[in-house]
Amino acid sequence: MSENHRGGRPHSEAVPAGGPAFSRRGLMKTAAALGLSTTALGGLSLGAAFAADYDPKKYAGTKISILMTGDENDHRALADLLPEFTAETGIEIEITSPALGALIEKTLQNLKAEQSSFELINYLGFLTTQQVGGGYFEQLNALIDDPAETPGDWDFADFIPAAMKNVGIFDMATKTVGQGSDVYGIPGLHSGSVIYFYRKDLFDAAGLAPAKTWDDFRAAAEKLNSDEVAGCSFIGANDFSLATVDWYTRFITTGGKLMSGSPADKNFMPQVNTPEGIGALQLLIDVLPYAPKNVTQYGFAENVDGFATGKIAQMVFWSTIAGPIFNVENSLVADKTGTAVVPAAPGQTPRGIQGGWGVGIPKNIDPAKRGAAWRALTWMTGKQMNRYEVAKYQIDASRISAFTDPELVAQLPYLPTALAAAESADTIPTSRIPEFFQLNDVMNVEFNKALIGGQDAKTACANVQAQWEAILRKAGHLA
Amino acid sequence: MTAAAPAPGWSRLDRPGIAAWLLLGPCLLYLAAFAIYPLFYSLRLSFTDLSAASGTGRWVGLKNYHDLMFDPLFWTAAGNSAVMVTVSVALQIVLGTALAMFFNLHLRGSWIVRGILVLPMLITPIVVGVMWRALLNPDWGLVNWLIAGVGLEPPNWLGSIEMAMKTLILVDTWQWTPFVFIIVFARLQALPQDVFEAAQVDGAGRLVIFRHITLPLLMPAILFAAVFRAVDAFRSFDLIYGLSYGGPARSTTTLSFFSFQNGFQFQNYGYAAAVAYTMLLVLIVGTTVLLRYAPLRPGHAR
Amino acid sequence: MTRVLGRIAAYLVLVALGVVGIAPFLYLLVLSFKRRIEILTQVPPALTFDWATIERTYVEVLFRQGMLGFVGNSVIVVGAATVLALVIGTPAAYAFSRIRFRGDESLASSILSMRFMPPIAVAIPLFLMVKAIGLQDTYLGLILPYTAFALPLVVWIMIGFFDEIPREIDDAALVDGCTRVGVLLRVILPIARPGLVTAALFGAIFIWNEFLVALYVIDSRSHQTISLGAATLVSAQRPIDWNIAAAVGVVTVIPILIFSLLVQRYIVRGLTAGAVK
Repeated sequence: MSENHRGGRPHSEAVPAGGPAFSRRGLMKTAAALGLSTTALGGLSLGAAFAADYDPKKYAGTKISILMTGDENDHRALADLLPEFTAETGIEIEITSPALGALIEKTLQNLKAEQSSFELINYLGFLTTQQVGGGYFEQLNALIDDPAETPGDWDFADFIPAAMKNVGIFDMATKTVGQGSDVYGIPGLHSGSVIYFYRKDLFDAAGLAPAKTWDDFRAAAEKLNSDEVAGCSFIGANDFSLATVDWYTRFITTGGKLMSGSPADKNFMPQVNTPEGIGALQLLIDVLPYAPKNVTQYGFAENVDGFATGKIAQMVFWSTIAGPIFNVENSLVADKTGTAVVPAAPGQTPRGIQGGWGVGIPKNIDPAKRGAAWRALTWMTGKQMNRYEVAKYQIDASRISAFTDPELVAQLPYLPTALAAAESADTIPTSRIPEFFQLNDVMNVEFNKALIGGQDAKTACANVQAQWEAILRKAGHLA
Repeated sequence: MTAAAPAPGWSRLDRPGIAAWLLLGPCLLYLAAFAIYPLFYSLRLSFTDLSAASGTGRWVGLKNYHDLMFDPLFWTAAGNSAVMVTVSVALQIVLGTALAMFFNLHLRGSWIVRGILVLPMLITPIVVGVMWRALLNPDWGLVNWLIAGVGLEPPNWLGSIEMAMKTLILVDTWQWTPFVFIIVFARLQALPQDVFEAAQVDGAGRLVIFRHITLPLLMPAILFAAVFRAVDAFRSFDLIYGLSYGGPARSTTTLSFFSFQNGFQFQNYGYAAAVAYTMLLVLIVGTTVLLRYAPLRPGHAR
Repeated sequence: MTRVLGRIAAYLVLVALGVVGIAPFLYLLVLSFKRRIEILTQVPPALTFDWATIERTYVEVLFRQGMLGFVGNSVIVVGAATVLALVIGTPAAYAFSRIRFRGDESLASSILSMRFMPPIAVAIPLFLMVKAIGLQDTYLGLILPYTAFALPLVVWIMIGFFDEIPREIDDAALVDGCTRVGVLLRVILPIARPGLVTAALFGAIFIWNEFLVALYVIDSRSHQTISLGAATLVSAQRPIDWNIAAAVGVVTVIPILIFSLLVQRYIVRGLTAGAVK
């Protein structure tokens, strides 16, 4: 049973950062003062589940609007548990959940407007630098530290540190994500990285162990490839995850580092046209013969469908697809699938890209609703919600407790693997600049072209390098 | 779409009196508010560098336009637009007119099929895109199953650079040929029958009648449909959004999608506006030229 | 003999056309009746249906996702915008048809070219306008821009339609002492009724599918339109639930299908007004 422990969570120091924002937060002045005193009370442990001054119904009667992703099942999980929340706190919630592109558009419009129509906004981890770094979100340290505002069992330390660093922590002075102790967002509703899925039954029958290196991967693909089942699969289409999942995983686990320098120093140089870059792409080209016939048309959906209908023997993928794969309703291989961390070259840490989302409170909301918004945020990101999401929808949680709960692990054996992956995941450097999607698009186009045989790996990487440098120069990140 | 000749008694002395202003006023005012303002806003936007990176757009003059002139991606998109519009519209005109002639036979029960043929253009383009994505799915789509069933190798509809644009044109034609068909067919029904009867009495063959009588009479309707389709095909992006998302390798990225992508996906609003305005220019020039040679209201030509 | 063959061929073509037109839609319907795993593994889809599955899918789409409400919203917004466009546009079309003045051709052409602007460029400014007036997330906030979208088309169809009505009718009424406006209201409009329906139909079709402006203007679920709902189907980062997507597609089509069946005869008849002499 953990309470609002001091360990592992940022202290809101004497004066919470954020000058003018501070003066707007009438309510928060008291909280900040409390922040000081709770630090002083550091050693006291609050045995009860709720701190003495936390009143669930404090903001009863307020209506909160949440803008969040509709691409996963998160909004459903929220909708499921909403009646209970409203009964307990008297706060009503309206959820707007468009698809990703629409979400980003609406987010930008609301963040820049005079007053945001949404009190809570869900942002993609890749956009943290842009949206949080743009100064649009409220700093949350004071609220986190305030036992009158935060339920005693919320437990800040329970969030996976890598996830918190990826979406929640931002250093405004140096515009760096993950640095310092200022919190602007909370991981929610799901984090996630890349793991390795394989067909236990096929591997066992062939006497193979799950692949630990990329050579293993290729050997297994070759051995297991047949007319009914492809030896492996990957994103081959011109799709967002080609660059960020299949290529990037192979790239960093063979020693690659995507960028050198930093935007601030104007020497943010891509390292795509390197042996590691070309090699990673070549690893994909080499296993083309053992991939499904139409793999160059396979995006996210096709691969999940392919694996779930038993047509693929192994692949490296977002851990979020564990949901559909292990769901007996939608999958023919639910009981035949095993998971492990991704393969890596000897001596390299197996890891993939850090995915995930954050939730924050825009600065420009109606100040009267701030308290209720925070309350809704703690509910959305609380332990109960996380566990429910994992149990019901197999959504990747953001909290360690949700990954290690014995009941859940018994139900969903892939959880420890997913946690290991989430903890070691790598925040892709290009997400620090607004041109992230554009860079990604360029890479997907060129790599897809290489996969369909339109050019070789060397040319593809050279093209990407050249176009990236041009984009970075135009944007001023590279001299 | 027009009368054959001005009716007798027509006066050219009318000045825009009070009646004209009463009738036109509300419309002009409304459009001034809701159409002019956005046009100027976008124009102004195209002269700034507003993007997600730069929060407030600074005036950069013609820089965006200069950039797009030298942007190879812009020209790829322009080429794709040109191909898509010309081939689609040509196909739709030919098929639409052919359909109109066919239904002019008034076969029994043809009104049912006519009703069915109206369906495609009523469906939201995004849904059409998703629907065809399902039909053309390489693993389980119905179309490939049928093709494989007769022993042929199904083409790589949406996965190959060469094929994707053809697929897009095909789907667009499936959806919008009915539009052309309806317009031409309606015109066909309205044609005075005496001309045809006279020609038949004179012994003219069917083909001759079609080429020298029917077609010229149908021209206004065909042109009207062609212009409308060309404009809409040029502007359309939600079909591409649902079907192929501009890919693979940008082979189905038209100017419209390119503008959408820059605005919506990359948040380069200034640049996207410049692309949109360039499109507008092209459209205005194109239609002005077209209409000069083929006026839509022959009876009222200058 | 050739006549009979020709006839048979003609009917074959007719049937083929019917199939081409309706097959994709039927396929969508069938997909919406299946479970997701069945869609992936049954090629071609077996025509056996399980009522429980169908019910679950449609309950999900209509109520949980709220498509039923979206249909209602679309009908309200598009209906009102179309009516408003008719009210404003018909008199203007009449003026263009009957009254000559300097610059009338250019004015008419520029009204038509209002439609030329690519959607992405007008969506944001329109949204900003709507927000400034305070109509964010309201029906009116959509109706007003949509009327502007439908106006050019309505004006153009009605101009063509009015051109077909001989001016002698106008002149006769004018001689009888009617004002221009009176002529329009009491004499011409009743004749032009099929044209109004046609203009309404085409106007409605063209704004029914609009989604960019709706995307910005509408925030809450309760005001969402169908096109917005359909747009959420397309998303790169998750496996498309094909059965759900298909059901959404079916629900999207049904209302406008009903509408067009009701006014089917006007689609053709309306465009041939000249027949009335």
